[in-house]
Amino acid sequence: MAQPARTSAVDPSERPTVEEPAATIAALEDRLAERELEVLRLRDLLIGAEAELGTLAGTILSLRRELEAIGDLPDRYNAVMGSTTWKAMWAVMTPYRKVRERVGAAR
Amino acid sequence: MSSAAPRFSVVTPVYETPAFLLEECIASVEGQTTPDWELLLIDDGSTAPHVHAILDAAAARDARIRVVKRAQNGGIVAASNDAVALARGEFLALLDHDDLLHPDALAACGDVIAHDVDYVYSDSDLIDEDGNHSEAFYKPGWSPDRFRCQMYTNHLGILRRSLVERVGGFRAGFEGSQDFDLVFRCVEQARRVVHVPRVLYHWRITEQSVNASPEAKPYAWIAGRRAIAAHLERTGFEATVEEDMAIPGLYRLRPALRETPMVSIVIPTGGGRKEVAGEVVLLAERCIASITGLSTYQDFEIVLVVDDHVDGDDVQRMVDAGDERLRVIPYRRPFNFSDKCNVGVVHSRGEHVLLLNDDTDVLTHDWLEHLVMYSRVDEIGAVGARLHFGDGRLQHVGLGALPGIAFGHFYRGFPGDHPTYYGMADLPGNFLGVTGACLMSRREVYDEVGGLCTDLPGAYNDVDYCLKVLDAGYRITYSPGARLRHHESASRVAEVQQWERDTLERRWWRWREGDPYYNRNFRQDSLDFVRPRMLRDGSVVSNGR
Repeated sequence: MAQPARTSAVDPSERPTVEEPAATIAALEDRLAERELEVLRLRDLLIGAEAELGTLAGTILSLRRELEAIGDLPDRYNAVMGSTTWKAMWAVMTPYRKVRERVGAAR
Repeated sequence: MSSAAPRFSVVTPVYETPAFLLEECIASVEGQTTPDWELLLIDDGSTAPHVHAILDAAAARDARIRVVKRAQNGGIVAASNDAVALARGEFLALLDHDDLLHPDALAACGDVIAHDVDYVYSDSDLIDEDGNHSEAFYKPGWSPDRFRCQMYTNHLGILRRSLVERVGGFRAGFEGSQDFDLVFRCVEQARRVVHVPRVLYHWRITEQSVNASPEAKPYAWIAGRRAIAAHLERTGFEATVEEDMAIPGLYRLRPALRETPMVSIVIPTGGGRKEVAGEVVLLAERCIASITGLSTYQDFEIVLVVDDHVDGDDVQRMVDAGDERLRVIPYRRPFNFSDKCNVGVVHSRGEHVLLLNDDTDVLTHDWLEHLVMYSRVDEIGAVGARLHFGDGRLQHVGLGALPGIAFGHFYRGFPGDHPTYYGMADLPGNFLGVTGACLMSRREVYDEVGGLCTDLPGAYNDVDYCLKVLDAGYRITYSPGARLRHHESASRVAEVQQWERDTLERRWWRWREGDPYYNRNFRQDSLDFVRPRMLRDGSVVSNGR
C-alpha cells in the first residue's frame, strides 16, 4: 500500500514561528534537556538492573556451592558412624564417658 | 638438567656480592616450595674469588642453577639482558643478588597466573644483614596512574618472557632504574597485571643499599625520571616529570596539555551559608570567586544549578562572583543532589564535566589542568581531587571499601601534612572511587553510565557513579595536584540512610569482599592503612579480620 508522502520530520505545530524564534528555541531546548535527563535516568536504571541481576546470580551461585559442600553431609556422617575406627574409639572411651557423667551428676 | 622448560626463570645479575648475602640469596631460590624454576646467575666480571666459588658450588649442587661469567664488567643492563637471552622459563622473576625470596614466592605467583596475565607483582619488606624484617610495603592493586610516579611494584616482579623479548629487554641509559623502564614498556602492552597481596620478597637493606638512604643512589632516581619521561613520550601522556624534592623516590607530573578542551563546572547550590574564618559566607559565591580568581585554565564554563527558593539577591551575588562564562539554571524540583547534577550536565556544553560542591574553594591555580590531564586519557573514566577541611585536615584523598560494602574516605580527618602510607596521598592513584564533591568525567563517559543515580538523592551517588564507571571498563584516578578546600556537609545532610546502603548493596554486592586497591593486610576495620604487627620472620600476627 502506498504510504502518504512525508512533508515534515516534525509536528508542524512545533515549527519555529517567524515571530518568536527565541522563545521557541528556548522551549525546544528545555524539552531537549528533559529528554536527555530521561535518557540518563533510563541508562542508569538499566545499568542498575544489570548490576542487581549480577548480585542475584552471584548470590544464587554462592548458595548453590554452599549447598553442594554440605549436600553429602548425611552420607559422610553415616560413613563415620559406621566405621570401625569410630566404633573402636567409642568402646575405648566408654569408661571415661561414664566417669564424666558421674562427676557431672554429682555436681 | 631437565629438558622441559621451567615455568620461572629467576634472573640474578651478580657483582662483587658479599659471600653470606649471595649464599642466602641463592638458598632462598633453592628453598622455593615449587620446583618449577631455573636460576640464572650472571656474574658481571666480579674479581672477588668467593663469588666464583659460591656460584660454582651452587651450579654443581643443583642442575636448575646456571651460571654465566662475563669476561668483564658490562653493567646491570648488559648482565640482565644476558640472563634474558638464556632464560627458558615462561616468566622471568627479577631477583637482586643480595635479596631474598619468600619460600612461597614463585608458587604464590604461579597460582594467579592465567593465560592473559603478563605481569605479577607482590608485596615486599626490608631485611637487614642480621635478618630483621621491617617496613612491609603492602601495595595496592594495579594502579597505572600511581606507577607513573612511583615504581611501587618493584619486588617481586614477574614478567612474561615473550613480552620482555618483544619490547627489547633492558635498555642502556636507565641504569639504576632499568627495571622501571622495562616494566613501563611491558605494562604499556600487557593484557593483565595482577597483584599478590603477600610479602614474597625481602629487600636487603645495607649501608650501600639504595633503601638505606635516598641519597645513596641518586643516579637511580634520575634514571627513574628518564624512564617516566620516555613513557610519557611513548604514550602521549600530556605532562612533564620532575623529582619530588619533598619525598625522595617519588616523582611529580606537571600538566603539559596540547589542547584545552572546554570544561563545564556544574555547581548545584541551595544558597547555603557557613562561617568560614570567622565570617558567614555565601558558599556558592565564595566557590565561584575562587574558581574565576585562581584558575589558570581558561576554557571553562560554570553552570550553576540553583534551587528556586534561593533569594534573588543571593543569586545575583553568585552571578557577580563569576563572569560571562557563568550560567544559572533554576531547579524547581524537591532536593535531589543527583538530579541537580544531571540537570546541570545536560545544560552544559563542555567536553569534560566537573561536578563541584558549592562548599568548596580552589587552593591550587592549576587544579583544572591536573584534572583534565587525566580526564583526557581514554582509559580513565573519572578523576578526583585532594580535598582538605577548612582547618587543613585531610578530607578526601580517594575512596575505598572495607568488606561488606562499607565505603569511606582514606585518612579522613588526618593532619593535612600527614606523610600517609608510602606517600599515597601525595601520589596520583587508582581507587574504587573519588568523592563527588569534585569529580571530573568526560561527557561521553557521564552519558554512557547514565550520570548520577537519581534513586540516590543524597548519599552514595558518587560511589555508585564510580562503580558504574569501573563496571564500564574505565579506571578511577585520584589527582593530588588538584587541591581544594571542602567545608563538608555545609551544603547538604551527610547522614546515610539504611535504604541508601541497601540500594548500593543490591547493585554492587560483588565488592563485598573488599577493595583491591586497599591491601587486605591492613586492618579491615578502618581505611587508615593501619598495619598489622609483623614478626621477626616477616610474617604478620593479624590482619584485623
